[in-house]
Amino acid sequence: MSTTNSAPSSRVASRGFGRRFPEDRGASEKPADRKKTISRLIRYFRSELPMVISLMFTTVLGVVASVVAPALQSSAIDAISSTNFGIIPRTLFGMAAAYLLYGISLLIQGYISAALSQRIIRKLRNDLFGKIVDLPLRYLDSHSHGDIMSRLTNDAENISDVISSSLSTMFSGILTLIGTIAFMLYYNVPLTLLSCITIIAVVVVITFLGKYMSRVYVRRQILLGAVNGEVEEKVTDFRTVTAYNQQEAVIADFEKESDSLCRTGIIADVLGGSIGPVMNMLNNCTFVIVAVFGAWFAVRGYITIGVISAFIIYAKQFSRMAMIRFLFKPAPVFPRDSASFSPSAEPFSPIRAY
Amino acid sequence: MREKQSMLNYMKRYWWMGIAAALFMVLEVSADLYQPGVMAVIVDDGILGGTGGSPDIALIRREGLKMILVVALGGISGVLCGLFANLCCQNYANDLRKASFRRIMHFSFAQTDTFSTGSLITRVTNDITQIQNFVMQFMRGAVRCLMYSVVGSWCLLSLDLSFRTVVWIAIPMILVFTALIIIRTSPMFAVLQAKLDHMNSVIEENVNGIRVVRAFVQENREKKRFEDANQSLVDTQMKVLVLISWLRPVMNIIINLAIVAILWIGAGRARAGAMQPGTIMAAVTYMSQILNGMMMLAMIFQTLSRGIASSRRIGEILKTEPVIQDGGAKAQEQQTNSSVVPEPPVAGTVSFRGVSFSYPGVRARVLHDINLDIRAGETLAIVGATGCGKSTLASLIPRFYDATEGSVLVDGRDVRQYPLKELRDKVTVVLQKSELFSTTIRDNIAIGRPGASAEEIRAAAVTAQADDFIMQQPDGYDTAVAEGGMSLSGGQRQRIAIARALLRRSEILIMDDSTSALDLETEAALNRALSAQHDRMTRIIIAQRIASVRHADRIAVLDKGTILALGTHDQLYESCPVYRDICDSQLGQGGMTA
Ligand SMILES: Nc1ncnc2c1ncn2[C@@H]1O[C@H](COP(=O)(O)OP(=O)(O)O)[C@@H](O)[C@H]1O
Ligand SMILES: [Mg+2]
Repeated sequence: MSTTNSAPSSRVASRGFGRRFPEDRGASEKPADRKKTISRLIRYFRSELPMVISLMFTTVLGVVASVVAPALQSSAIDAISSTNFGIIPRTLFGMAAAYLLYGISLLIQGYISAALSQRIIRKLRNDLFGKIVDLPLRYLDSHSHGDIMSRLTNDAENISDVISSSLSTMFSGILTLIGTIAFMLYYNVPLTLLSCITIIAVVVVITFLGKYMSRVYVRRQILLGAVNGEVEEKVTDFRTVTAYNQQEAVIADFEKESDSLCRTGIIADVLGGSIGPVMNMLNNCTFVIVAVFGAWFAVRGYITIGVISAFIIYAKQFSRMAMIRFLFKPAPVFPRDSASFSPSAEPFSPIRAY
Repeated sequence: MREKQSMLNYMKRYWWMGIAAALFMVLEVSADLYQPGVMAVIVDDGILGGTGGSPDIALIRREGLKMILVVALGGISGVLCGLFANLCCQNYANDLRKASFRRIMHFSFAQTDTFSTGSLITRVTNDITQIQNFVMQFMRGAVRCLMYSVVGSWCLLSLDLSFRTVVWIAIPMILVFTALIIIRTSPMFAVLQAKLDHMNSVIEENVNGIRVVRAFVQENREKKRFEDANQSLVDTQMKVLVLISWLRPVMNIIINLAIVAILWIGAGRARAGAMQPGTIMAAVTYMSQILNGMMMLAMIFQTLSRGIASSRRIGEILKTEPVIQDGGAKAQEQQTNSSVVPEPPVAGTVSFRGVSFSYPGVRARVLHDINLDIRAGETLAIVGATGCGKSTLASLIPRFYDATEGSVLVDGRDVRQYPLKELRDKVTVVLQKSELFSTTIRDNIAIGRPGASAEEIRAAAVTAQADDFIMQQPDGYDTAVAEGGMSLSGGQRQRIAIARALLRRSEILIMDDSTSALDLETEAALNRALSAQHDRMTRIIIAQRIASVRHADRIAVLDKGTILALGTHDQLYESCPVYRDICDSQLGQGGMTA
């Protein structure tokens, strides 16, 4: 502030344009409301039932293909190491077919979830807008307009994105989980249990980080709302700011808020961003465990080399699925940035059967 | 070019963090790429015993330990990379956000008019986030992607050169396909942004103007308007999504078929006795890592196109120099002179000398050749039809706009020669729209003079006839004003705005239609209080009601941007037919008594 040297009695006055009630903004984001929000969202999905069902059907096809392909690869590797080259063309043909099927199911899944999420965004926004137009004036008066606007644009999109990607991810995740565990147990029980060690580590890390992170993310969301609200108000009422020579005071206040958003944002994203490398590390650990113990078992003759190659794939699929618990959380906790346009976020994410 | 430079300038302080992030990323990816090779050794030399033919458990244990060490290093590098990348890009975005906000606050009114408020808001909020995401993506993604695809291919080929045909076919196919999708989608992002802007402006109009919408029962029309904007946004977005949804499946198919091809080639080599199963397994893993890199490439290009669009929008703000700036060196000189020469006896005169004005980008003149001398301490009223240029005339005095021709003088000195702060401290405008901020009533008044004591604030409110209703609020002066002051009545808002202006104790006070919502009694009380408390202040009053202006020292009648007549109420009533018409029409409504 420009007037820190003023008399104590004017402490309040010297706050100038300071916003006093940022806490109002976060009040409606309480976890109690979250359940209600989610159940409301589920209603939107229910009205799109045919699409949801066809999405699930293609997902099942894709999952079957992605679980069968590594098993075929395993027999191909075994055929090579046992110099039984006769069955290789057949096996590889099966693999190619499975992968084609998987690719096609991905394509259809992508199309359906895009259509689904766009339809839901549209409905969500129209309903929200209708609500705003019909809302008691008291609500509009007590909420920052910037906040209301971001609810209509960013939040509607984020929520719908998260839910629609979570929907298919959840579903395919559970199926893949069942499929991979079945195949792993079929191949070798001890090696399955050993690869599960890292899965348990994944769950522990997520629970530990997740709790702290959701707090940081909520705080960042509140600060972001405050900064955006500040921009909205001061740019809209820019004439008064200018007429009263308040530019420097307003800028100083804004910079303070912006800086605190930046600090919280860094903490939140360093934490959120470290999930990736930590997961990667755990995946690599699984790789090492499978390679080393698999080799040991293979030397003893418990398993074949092909099984090791299948396990490498299955264990990766398995630990990725364990992360779904983490993906399936409402927007603020989801470690993706509040980029309002993220049509690509899901289709591009480097998720694959390997 | 220049705009890029200025955007990059903000990166100067943080580039080393970006480099550090990239280096740690190299380490992290190296750890990933290291492992398949070790696995090949474990399988081929450990299990199958290599050339010796018997299994080697010691080798398996040794290689396993090495792998664990590398994995741990990779993980640590990954976390450190995230740390530096975030420090770099969030600080950068924060600097950009602060710089553009600062720049906007120093814009002239004409400049904010050109950008439009809504667009400025989206730029500072949304576009900054886009840039931040883009820088982040670029720093982490570009290195990771390059490493996976280039070094991954190299690792694959170093296992066995016979895999090269697969690499030479699969990678160009992926690149061409990705390029096609990107070329087709990138122009669509500009359209997407425009549609989002449009939808935002519909929302903004409605949120801010909700009272008008309700008053005129326009809810359904507005809902329809929003639904149309929303539909067209969603349609464009769907087009983009559908195009993009081809990427992942097609890439998956290409890479997975490449893996099948590798198994096929590997089987052939094994049959010839030139390759062992472990090597084939490693080759398959490398191929899938190359896929990861390729997929990231597509994602980077996508954020790139969005990031560039957003950078351009922020660049536009940063390269726009405020047109209205402090007066030059001449002003400084005059100032030092005036501190030697005693203050002129009469402060508070305003003169218009041949002033004409048209809004930037609008051909039509709003003011023509205005000549007007306002004396110190006098109360001058300006009356005239809506749109005749009253507000425009007033806004030239504190230099909200600069006159197109002629000059405006305050205390005998051209307004363009004053430091802006000094001029605007001298001249206070109560704007036609009273803008209140979402803070307490006390703070809203204190904006007039930060640091004013509680007593001074109260005194200003008493003069503005605001004290009574403020004391009736739940928390008195500490009552929070809701967004835009909407919880208060129009008259209450106007009185708070007047109190704010009075607190400044400027020499010149301009009240632009700012008592329109007061009843006549309150207005009369206000005028009495003003005359008693601030008798030396020059007052310029713009009003619709004759009752508000008839006691002014002089009244100027403005018509289509020219001054038609100037004089006291009685003189004008005699000599100016336009003025007499206004008086008579309002008298007829019983708006004026004696
Ligand atoms: N920011 C602006 N840009 C372009 N034209 C404007 C702007 N503000 C006002 N005008 C136009 O200038 C004319 C005079 O406006 P104004 O000075 O506000 O009239 P008054 O205050 O007498 O009602 C009107 O025709 C109005 O449409
Ligand atoms: Mg006006």
